Amino acid sequence: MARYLLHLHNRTGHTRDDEGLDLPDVAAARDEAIRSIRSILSSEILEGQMDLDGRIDICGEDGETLAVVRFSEAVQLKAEA
Amino acid sequence: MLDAHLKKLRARDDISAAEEQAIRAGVREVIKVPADGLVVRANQPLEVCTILLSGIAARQKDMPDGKRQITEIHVPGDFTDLHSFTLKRLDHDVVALSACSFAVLPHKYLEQITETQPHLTRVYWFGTNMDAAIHREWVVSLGTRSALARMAHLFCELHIRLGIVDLTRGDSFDLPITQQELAEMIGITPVHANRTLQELRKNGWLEFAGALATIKDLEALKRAAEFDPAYLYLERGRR
Repeated sequence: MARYLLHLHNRTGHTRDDEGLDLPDVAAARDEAIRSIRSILSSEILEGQMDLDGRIDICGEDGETLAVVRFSEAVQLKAEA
Repeated sequence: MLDAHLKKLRARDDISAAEEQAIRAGVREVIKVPADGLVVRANQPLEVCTILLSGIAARQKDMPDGKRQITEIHVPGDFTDLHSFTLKRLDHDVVALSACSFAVLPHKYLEQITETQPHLTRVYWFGTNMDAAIHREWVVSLGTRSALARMAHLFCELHIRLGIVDLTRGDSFDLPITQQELAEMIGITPVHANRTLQELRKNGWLEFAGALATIKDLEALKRAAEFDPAYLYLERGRR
């Protein structure tokens, strides 16, 4: 296990993660980021909006960015033309 | 040792000296549990109940994918698992969220209380009914309130519950739990919980950092939560 910090950036603002999460690897941290983006977007949808312009930076404890997950990677949009 | 527990009981009813003595006489031991330590494992046979003396504990259900839902938070004074007296096993875990100490009372002793102390028995029945009322309110939160309102509601509830046992300092109180645990109470992810707390802070309603919660604007927080404390049965009366 290692500690990963998931910093959130979107149009609402930047939210630094000072607590972090203990996860087995970067892949697990990516899964957690995807889950988080879906959680945030689902709240937005209940308010009648969805802003895909955002990202979560996954950093190690030393501050190094290990991965970036964009909001658009977390959902598939389908609509009839 | 049982001061918080007696304060909680006396906030809602008179507890006589004899009843207080009957409670105190039931404590067989005091156990210390480290943060994240399991106090009760789901579906194990139980012969004792525990009263939370210090720290923050919770009832939780573990999901097969490793996630968990916290279904109630416990503050000092709570009879954490009195319902195990009749259930004899629990369908959920009881976990220490911070380092905790608990008083342990055997079911056999509680059985004696039901036979010799009818009023105290009703007071404890009232206590488990109140736990059910809190569960109902949490269901309402999960089913109808926004993430922001759920978080606001939780802090309004804690402010009252900790106030009853004199663990608030004005509008501040210690809350030694993580954002991840807050997230698991209100059904969102830790990142989403962090963002939600930031919104509450930006609005000037609530600060939560370093295990310290400070309510900056209680009325605004209550409005955002649609908070009505009726479910906490704050009125004193004969049970």
